[in-house]
Amino acid sequence: MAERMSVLYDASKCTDCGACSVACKQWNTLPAEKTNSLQGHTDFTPRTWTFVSSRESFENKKMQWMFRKQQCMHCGDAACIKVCSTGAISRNDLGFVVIDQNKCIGDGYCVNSCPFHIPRVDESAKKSYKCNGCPDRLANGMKPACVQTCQPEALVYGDRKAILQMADDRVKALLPKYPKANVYGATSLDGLNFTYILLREPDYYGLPANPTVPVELTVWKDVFHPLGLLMVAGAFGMTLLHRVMQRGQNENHPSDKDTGSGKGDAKG
Amino acid sequence: MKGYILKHETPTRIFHWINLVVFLLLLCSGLAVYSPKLQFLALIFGGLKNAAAAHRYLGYAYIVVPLIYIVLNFGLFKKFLNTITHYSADDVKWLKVGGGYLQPFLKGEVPPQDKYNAGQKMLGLMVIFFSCLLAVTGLLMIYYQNVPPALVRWSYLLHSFSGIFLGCGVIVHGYLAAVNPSSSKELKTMLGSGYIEEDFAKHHNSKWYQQVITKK
Repeated sequence: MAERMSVLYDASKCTDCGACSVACKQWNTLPAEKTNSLQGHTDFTPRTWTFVSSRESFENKKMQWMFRKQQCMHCGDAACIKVCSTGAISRNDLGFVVIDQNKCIGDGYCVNSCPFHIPRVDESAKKSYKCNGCPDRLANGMKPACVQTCQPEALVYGDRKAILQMADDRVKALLPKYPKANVYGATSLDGLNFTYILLREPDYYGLPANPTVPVELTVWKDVFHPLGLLMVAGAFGMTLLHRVMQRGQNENHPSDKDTGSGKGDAKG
Repeated sequence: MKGYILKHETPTRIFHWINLVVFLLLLCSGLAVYSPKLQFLALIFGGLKNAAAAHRYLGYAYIVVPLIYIVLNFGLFKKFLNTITHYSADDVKWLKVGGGYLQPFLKGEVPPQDKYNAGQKMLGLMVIFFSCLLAVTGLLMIYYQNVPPALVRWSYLLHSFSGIFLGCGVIVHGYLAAVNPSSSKELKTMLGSGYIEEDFAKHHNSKWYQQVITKK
């Protein structure tokens, strides 16, 4: 297993230019889509895997304009991998979560299970899509397309430990001006492979403060799933066993003469 | 027919088999998606993606077919519902001795039974309850884009549990009604003319048999 890598997104450097979104579309040959606002994309689609959302607020007579690049967070403990019915989603060596499109049947389980609500299903093709971390680029020693293109260097790609160190240092430098600055994704869900430096609390950006794998998925996949397989095998096995045992019994069981008997022995 | 009495009317028999085929296809396609270990079941449908698509369409059939039967044969359905919702002391006793099917582990006299024995009555209730649950959760899963994600996630759990529980029930029902020698005459009745040997009815469903005889 290769060293776990990570992408650092620094919200304090981002200018919402949208180049990451364009680069993503270009590298992954995703067509452009019409948007209804000057902001550009405001939500994911099967063909939009990353975009920058912004939020304005006027507090203490000061204007604030906060940006956040959105894409798959590539969770260390990914709910989508757990829930995928066909085993199409997996984590690659570098720690990025990828969908094997050959195995995907577009049932949308990942859409409903993602703590960040990222994947989107192309309903006509019945395939689920999201950011895959540009595995083809990374395998050839390049950075992800969005990182490569980022002008203000708000995106950095590198070894996860170094990235986390870098994030901590940067937040320390930001704290005097932004007292709520924090590192997001360092530990939650076994560490997110996209680490964010946020200038405000996660809620402000529409992020869950403590993202988790929903408990019903754990109950379903870790408890009920093996139990269900056992139940099916048990039903088959018990009828088979019953049949074999009855075969060995005396065909003319004495109780057979009683009225109302539904005895399991063969009457011939 | 001499020596035979009518147990299942023609609409009931047709409905029973259509519903069973639809259910088994749903079970196979459902299990194929349930676990990668059971993906071979998708070969019936020509691949996992087709199995998933078939599962959706068959799901609608599983909702519509019983509704058609109930609307066209409301009298029969009411009678059936009446039978499976009434339990007597004999039914409790039947359950205690496992219907006599679990000898030599559970011994004892098998008490006289109605048209359906206590096990069949319970299966009937289970089928109705879990089928409704499967229909509701299935629809939530198909139209997930208009439903809160948490509700859909609970549907995954309930849907797979109901399906597997019902599947196990149907496996045991099929075994007792079609394979087990002492009770497999039921298959011929359901698959054939609907008539069952008087002697068999006298043994297995004596209460119902007495009712039919006195009416004659």
